[in-house]
Amino acid sequence: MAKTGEKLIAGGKRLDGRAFGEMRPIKMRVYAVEKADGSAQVSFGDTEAIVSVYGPRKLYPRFLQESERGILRYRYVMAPFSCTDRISPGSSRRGTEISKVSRLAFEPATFLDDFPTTVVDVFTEILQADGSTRVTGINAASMALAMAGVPMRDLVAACSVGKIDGHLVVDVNGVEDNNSEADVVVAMMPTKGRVTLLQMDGILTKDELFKLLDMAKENCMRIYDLQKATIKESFKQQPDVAAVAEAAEEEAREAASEG
Amino acid sequence: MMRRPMMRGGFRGRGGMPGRDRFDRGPRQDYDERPEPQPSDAGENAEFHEHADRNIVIPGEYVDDKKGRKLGNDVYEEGEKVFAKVLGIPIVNENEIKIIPMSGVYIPNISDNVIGVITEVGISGWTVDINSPYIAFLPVADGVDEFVDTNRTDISRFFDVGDALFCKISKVTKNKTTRVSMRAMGARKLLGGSLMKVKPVKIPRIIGKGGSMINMIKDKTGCVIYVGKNGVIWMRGENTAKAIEAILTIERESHTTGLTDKIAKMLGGLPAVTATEPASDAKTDDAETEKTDEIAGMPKPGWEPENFGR
Repeated sequence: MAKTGEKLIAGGKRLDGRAFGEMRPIKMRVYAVEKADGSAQVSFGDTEAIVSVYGPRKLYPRFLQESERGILRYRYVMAPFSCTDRISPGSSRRGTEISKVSRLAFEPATFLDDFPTTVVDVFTEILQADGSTRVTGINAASMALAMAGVPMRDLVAACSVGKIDGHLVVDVNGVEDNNSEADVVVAMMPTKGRVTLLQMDGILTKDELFKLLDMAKENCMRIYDLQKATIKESFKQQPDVAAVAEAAEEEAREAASEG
Repeated sequence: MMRRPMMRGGFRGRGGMPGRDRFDRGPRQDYDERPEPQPSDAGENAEFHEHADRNIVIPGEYVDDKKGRKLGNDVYEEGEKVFAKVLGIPIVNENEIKIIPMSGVYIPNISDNVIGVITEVGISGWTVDINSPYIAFLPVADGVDEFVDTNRTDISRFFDVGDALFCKISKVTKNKTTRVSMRAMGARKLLGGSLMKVKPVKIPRIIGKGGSMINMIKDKTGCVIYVGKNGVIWMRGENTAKAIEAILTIERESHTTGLTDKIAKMLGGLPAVTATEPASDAKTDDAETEKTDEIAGMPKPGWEPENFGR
């Protein structure tokens, strides 16, 4: 039962018609920010995150540099228009915390020792918020880091799970998140089976937690497959070379006739 | 015990004369008279790019079992298994397992030929931007062939801020403190012309196997082109626009096959500049193009022969 008294589960289905183990429709793309070294955009239903990665690059001020390793800077912000209440732009208490935990989710997965004294900047902007914003951000950031060529042990896939109205569900949306009995955020390196971020809010029994972790792992694998497919697909969708050559030839012919 | 390296122009060994070595070297050569570098870095990588079966791996993806082979770039091992560190094309042969990355910044490697731009003139050398997270230092001793008394000389007479250099990485420490040197085959100051930047990982493809691709672009466009491994390309000539277009196409399509033919076709329809004026002329005619090639908007050459301290 929700805090407002509304039911979150009706007829064995969730309010948006999903089954308990069903995720929202996922959309992913890379090259979302052409200017960046690596970028990606991911949406889980109405939650949408866009991430750009810059670096490894020089780190200033110098006192922040570490001579033996590079550092990762992760910035999570929500756009002012991302949800019904206006979010004041810039960093907030909540944003600072999420930035930190997201950074910690990536630190075990990156080989920053290869780039002493540098920084890798990850900028995550939540364009639309409907629950599970941090996991959407992490999924996008993971792809953006890969696209930027930052050496990684594995991609990081993240997923939220929770308990609503006594049922264990995956991919918690905004309404469910606000009214859940518990919600758990899991980020992991899927092929290694190692968890890099685990956060829990609410009350769960030990059994429920382990069950939720299993569900999260299973869904992280699905997300990982999508990430992998999206990245690989992006190298097939390149402009047609023949068309480019033809255009160039035509141009040259025109130039010749003018000359 | 490590010996401290001697300063140039100091005593060389016991009983030597101060500054003796500088007399032994014969007359110095002007940078622009030096021979053009051969695209020696062309690399095995170019070959791999062409023969790779477009099988792209993502970070963390299993590549192969190690089986006692050497691990090359951008892979790591866990137990017997080898995984990719970066997004790229895996190269697996009987000696080595490695990845040709699809993206990433330039990390200096010893003996790479790079194009750098002077950002600062110091007391005993220059700071050089080599299009990398790490800046390089060019000591006077490695930058100029003659003896220079840094107490009395303003070294900006040799290279000034904004000058572009074709130079070689001579030293990289563990923390990636980098030194470059002009004491290398083909090292020279690049006068006039224009600089462009591409992704450093695409450079092997732009050079092509044994320099095939870049030589073709040079021949077809009649441009003088220098390619730095750090992703900076300098070019000068009449058809630079076409050369730039060709290079950008290679950068964009680098993972596809049959690129050399495509670029040949693309450049094939050029107006007949190369026909009336053979490519070999354009290359040897450095001195002539030098005079005419003061291109507006470029960093000032800042180099006048009469100031060269002779």
